[in-house]
Amino acid sequence: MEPILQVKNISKVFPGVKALTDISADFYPGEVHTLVGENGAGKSTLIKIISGVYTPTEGKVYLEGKEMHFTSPGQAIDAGIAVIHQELSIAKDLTVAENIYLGREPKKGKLLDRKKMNKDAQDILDFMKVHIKATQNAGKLNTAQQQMVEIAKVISKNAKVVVMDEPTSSLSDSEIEALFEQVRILKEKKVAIIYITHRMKELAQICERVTVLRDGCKVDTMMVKDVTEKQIVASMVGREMGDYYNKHEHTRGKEMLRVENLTQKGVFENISFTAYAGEIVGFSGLVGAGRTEVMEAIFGATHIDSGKIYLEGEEVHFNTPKDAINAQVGLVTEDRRRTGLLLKKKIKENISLPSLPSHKNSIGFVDTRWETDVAEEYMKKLKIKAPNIDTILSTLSGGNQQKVILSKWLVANSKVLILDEPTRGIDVNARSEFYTLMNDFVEAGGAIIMISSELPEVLGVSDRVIVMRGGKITGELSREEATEQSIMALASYTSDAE
Amino acid sequence: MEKAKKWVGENVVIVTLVVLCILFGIGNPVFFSVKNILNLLSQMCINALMATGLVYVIILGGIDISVGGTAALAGVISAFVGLQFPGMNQFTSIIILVVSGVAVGLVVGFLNGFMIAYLNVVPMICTLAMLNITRGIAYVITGGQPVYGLPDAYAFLGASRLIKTESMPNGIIPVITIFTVIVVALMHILLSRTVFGRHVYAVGSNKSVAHLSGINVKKVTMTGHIISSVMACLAGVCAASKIQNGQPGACDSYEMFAIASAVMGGTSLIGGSGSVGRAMFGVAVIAVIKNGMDLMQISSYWQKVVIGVIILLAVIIDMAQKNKKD
Repeated sequence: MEPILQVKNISKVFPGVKALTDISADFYPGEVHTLVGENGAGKSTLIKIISGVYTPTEGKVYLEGKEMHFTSPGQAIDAGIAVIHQELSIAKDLTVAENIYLGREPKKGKLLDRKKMNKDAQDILDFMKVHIKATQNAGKLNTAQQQMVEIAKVISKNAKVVVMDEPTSSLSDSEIEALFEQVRILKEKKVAIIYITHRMKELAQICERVTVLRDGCKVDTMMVKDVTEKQIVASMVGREMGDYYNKHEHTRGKEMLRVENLTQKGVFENISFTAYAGEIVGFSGLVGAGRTEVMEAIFGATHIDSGKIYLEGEEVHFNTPKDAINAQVGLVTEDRRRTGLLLKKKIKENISLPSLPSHKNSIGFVDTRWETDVAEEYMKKLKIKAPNIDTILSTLSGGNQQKVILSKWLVANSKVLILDEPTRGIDVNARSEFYTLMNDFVEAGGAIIMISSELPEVLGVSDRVIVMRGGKITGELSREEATEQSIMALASYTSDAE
Repeated sequence: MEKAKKWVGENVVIVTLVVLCILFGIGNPVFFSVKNILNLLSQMCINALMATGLVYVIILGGIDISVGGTAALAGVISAFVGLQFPGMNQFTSIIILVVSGVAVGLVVGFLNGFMIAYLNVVPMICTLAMLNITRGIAYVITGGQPVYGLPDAYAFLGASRLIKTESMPNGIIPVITIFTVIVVALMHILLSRTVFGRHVYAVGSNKSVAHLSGINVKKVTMTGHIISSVMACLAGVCAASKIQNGQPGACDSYEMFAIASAVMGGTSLIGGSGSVGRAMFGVAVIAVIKNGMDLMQISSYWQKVVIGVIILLAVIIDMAQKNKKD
């Protein structure tokens, strides 16, 4: 079989950094070829070269044997290379059909042929067997459905090569299965798929080939069927990983946070659970089960219609996040770029933010000595990799950004930490470090509530697992009872549909 | 070399200022005369006060277009108040001016801030409407006529100079300059050193993050608008004091100068960054351009065009630097 896309001896140098060194790889039609590597290994630089965003410093790109010289993404698209970005590019006010044919609208004379556009779009959606109407407003679709629209766009373009950048990072397990179904359809159409993921178990599910990148160099290209997940991870980080989750046995301490019959009409109802000092409570469930909404309400970011919250046995009323912070509760949100960090501000300014009111002098001046000291202390303690405490957050990797957020809540003396998808988009090494920090926190007497959509993570980290479905708690499993099967039985509608 | 290039890139406004001064200095030797420089220092004060307030709201991610009208309203009200105190001296006149300015500023700023922070009105539209309302009220209460008949002491803040010498019988240092330096310095410190200032930056950078970090976003936004209006009103009473009467048409289109100064001084129109101190360089650039053009006897109509072009250039440079960073 002939490769459809080849990169040969690609190097890319940015001022001061060599992002890629001598990368060669072949991509075959009808195959899923996964790029794996830690953040900063060079995956995104490589796909940006393939898709015409960057031009390589050295090396060549061949499409169907012909050398390509892309100088803009438009040229790559015209040549048949499509990219589905992690951040989907859906125009929310347009219909599904308008999105699919954006910039290539069928015309009758000079005018838009809306009828043909809607029919063609619907044909593709029907062919994909997804229940989306072409005339529907795209903004009303959920993330998984929007992704389907992106795939429909790819199919309508007859793309030869499709790049998918972490397409599953915000999907639930059932949505992922639906996505993989589409990937299989693309494979049958002999499309070459370049796939990026941090989730190792997906390799065995849909990939044929895997290329491991480390520090801008290619480590190896392997056939997925010939290697184990462990071997791949080992070649990514350059060593054997050992116990990835660093699970410790914890002993349950006193009651920290208890909620009773918490209800927010139409969103969640009768939520009751307790988190104890010294333990990590995992919250599992499908995306949209209401877990994030419950935590935001507890934290005072949204309201509750009824129910009670107790902290260390005493009833509390968190009307705003400020009340929760003053009571030493911290929330690490699921979308750190949008709701977790001031991306254009310095590390120290991010770390000190919630604690500033308690570190000012009588006329309201910020205690900058304290701020510097505390930022330096936590940079060392949490091993945040950055030049110094004045580094701007947007220049840090995902793992280090997440450590800055954790520092922020540790500095605020949090006793209860709510972590919403804390390791999303973070590479293996940083994840492992993050789990250790979580263990340290509970062993020092804190309580952690962790929402996670990744079952292996929930199982590997939690002392207890609470499962939600459709805005209700459907069950609680001890460490011994919790398995992928027992959690999925509680989380999905299949076993005992309502 | 690399470092010098970077410095120039980050300090375009200072370079611009120096280049302009040299050009105008060569073009007309009067430019560098002591008299002209003192003139400049006094001319830029009104804009400096306004631009200081604008820095706060622009960092918050908003804008305040109402400052010109608000300033005029404060000016005529301070004139009406002044008429009630014909026996005022230099000291009490300052109190009268500042108190009436602050009072008007609190009311207008509260209205702007309340509508923007609590009723979610778009700042551009809200303050544009407020520009009309304040200007309109200024005309209504004066019947369109300037408020005359104020005692000489009323003009102390705006027009007097301290340290009189033989060669300069009118005095050397303008009182308005001293007043402005003190107020601007205080506002600079408030923004750069206090917890409130940090909260302004945090809200302007990302409202959700600020809210989830325990900051009362609405209160900070409202306070920012109150500061902007109070600063505009201080500028307005200084302008009235300078000409010793209350003009309902005063400070017309001064919002443009203030916004231009803030943006040229590196205040980002998308919010989250900027500084009062740096905005003062923008104020100086505008003042130098106007002063230089006056000396070169360029008509005030052309001056309008030039200022407009400068604002556009400043915004284009601002955006170009943003894009480079991303």
